[in-house]
Amino acid sequence: MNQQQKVTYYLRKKKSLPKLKDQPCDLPSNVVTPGCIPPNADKQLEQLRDFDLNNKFGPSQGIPRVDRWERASRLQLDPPIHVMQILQSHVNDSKFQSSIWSGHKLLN
Amino acid sequence: METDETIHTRQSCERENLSKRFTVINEPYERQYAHIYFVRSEIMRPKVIQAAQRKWGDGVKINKLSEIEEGEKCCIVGTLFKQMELQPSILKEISEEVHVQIQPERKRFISDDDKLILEDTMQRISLTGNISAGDCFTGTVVALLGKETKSGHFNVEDFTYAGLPSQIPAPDLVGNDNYVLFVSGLGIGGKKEKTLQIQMLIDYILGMLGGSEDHEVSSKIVHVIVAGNSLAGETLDKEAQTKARYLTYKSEASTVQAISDLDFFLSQLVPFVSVDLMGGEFDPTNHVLPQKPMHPCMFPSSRRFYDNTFHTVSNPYECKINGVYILGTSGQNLDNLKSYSNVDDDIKLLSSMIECQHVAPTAPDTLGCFPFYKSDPFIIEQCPHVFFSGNQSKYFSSVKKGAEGQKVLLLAVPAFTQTCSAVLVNLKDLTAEEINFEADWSQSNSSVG
Repeated sequence: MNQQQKVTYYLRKKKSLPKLKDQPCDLPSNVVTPGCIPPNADKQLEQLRDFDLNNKFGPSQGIPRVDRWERASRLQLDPPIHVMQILQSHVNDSKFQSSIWSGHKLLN
Repeated sequence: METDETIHTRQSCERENLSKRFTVINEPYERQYAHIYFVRSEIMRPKVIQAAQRKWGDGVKINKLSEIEEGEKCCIVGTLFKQMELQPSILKEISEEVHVQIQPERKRFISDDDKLILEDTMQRISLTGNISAGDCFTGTVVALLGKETKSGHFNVEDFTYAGLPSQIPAPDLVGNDNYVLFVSGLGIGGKKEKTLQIQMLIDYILGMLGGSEDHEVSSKIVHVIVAGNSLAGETLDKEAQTKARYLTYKSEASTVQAISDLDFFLSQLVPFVSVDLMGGEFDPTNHVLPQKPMHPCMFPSSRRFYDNTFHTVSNPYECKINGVYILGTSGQNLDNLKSYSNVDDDIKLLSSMIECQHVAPTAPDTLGCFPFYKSDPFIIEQCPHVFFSGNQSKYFSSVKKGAEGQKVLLLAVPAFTQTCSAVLVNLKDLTAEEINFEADWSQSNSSVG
């Protein structure tokens, strides 16, 4: 059976899930070392989402994430560097570059 | 008849345009205004905290709004918001629940029950106590000392703005008089246009009017700044926009003749003295601040000297003439502050603006402005030596001194249609004087024959 079916089987039987052989690591996606898989896009998007929702860096709606990070950096608010690293590694992907509000017709 | 043999040579001037931050090129207007308020608050916050520590001691406790406790004396920093009942609100107008009666057209929107609220990036709190709503403006960043009361309001004991920004000292002009002439509100094309007086002003600048003392003064005029409203308000024919095309296609907009007259006046000046032409409320440029410079294509005669002695510049405008920093507007910011506060004194308003370190604090709330998001260009980072506002009802000037030795000349330039006067500012010692141009028509014109 596939991964999903295995998980539901174990949860139904109230058994502890077997340990994953491949552990995710914190390196950016363009660095690959043996025995380590890069974090998947979902985790990166979640980190970007946290950056968007963090009030400290100001309003996130209506401006690209890169511009917001640069503005926060210029105002000396210490935006997290890994957010900029993620944005620079996905330059042409609009899902990464625009804020979480950009998908909504009324909010854009 | 004595002939004056001395030939006066006009002195040169070094002019540098510092208004690049007021230029908006090809940016979308769809952004929200939350960004400009955030940037303003973040940039001004450390400056206001410094002023608060200078005033109330280094030990004063500075809290965010979320950290204040009831009864504890502390200092909070944030942006002021004035809630005014009479402020025109589009939501009230179109709301079906609130039947708003048609109000008489007002010039002032203040009332006795205006409330002051302090906002920071997360919360807001109502203010009571030693702060008067009539003297305060929306959009200024302020530090308040006081306590939170049981009812959840903040009782203000004292408050302070950021104070004058730091200033590069004015150069020592070695005893040479250098004059900059300010004029505004020429009102060409309207009923109140004072054509003869405008021609007298031009002749005066060129040294063709007055006696030898006047010629000497005119030769020391190194620069002319025309501070907006060179065209009259009547040239804005708003009805023509709603009239049907077949009714208006043969008639020419009155701005065409008016701008041609303005070009004629300017073309007399520009071969001899450098002129900066600012846009104003009634001039053919965009409406919201910052106003773009007027396009030189509208001035075919003066255009030959464009970028040489003739410059069309933005509103607000900042420049450096012979080392002296000059910053000012065509008056929309001052008029807006007057409409939304109790203050009538032009000098007091100019003084408040420079203390808050902001050229247009009520923008974007009641004064139209472009939705900036990277920076707030209206923040005054460096204290100018001359801070002017055009198109006021009368000439006022006063020197304001700052805590760190800053010295700034606050100048209200009168509208030419109302007073027929221009202002000469001596850059050597930052003094100003008004020159009036009048023609005596009272002589009886006895007709011949």
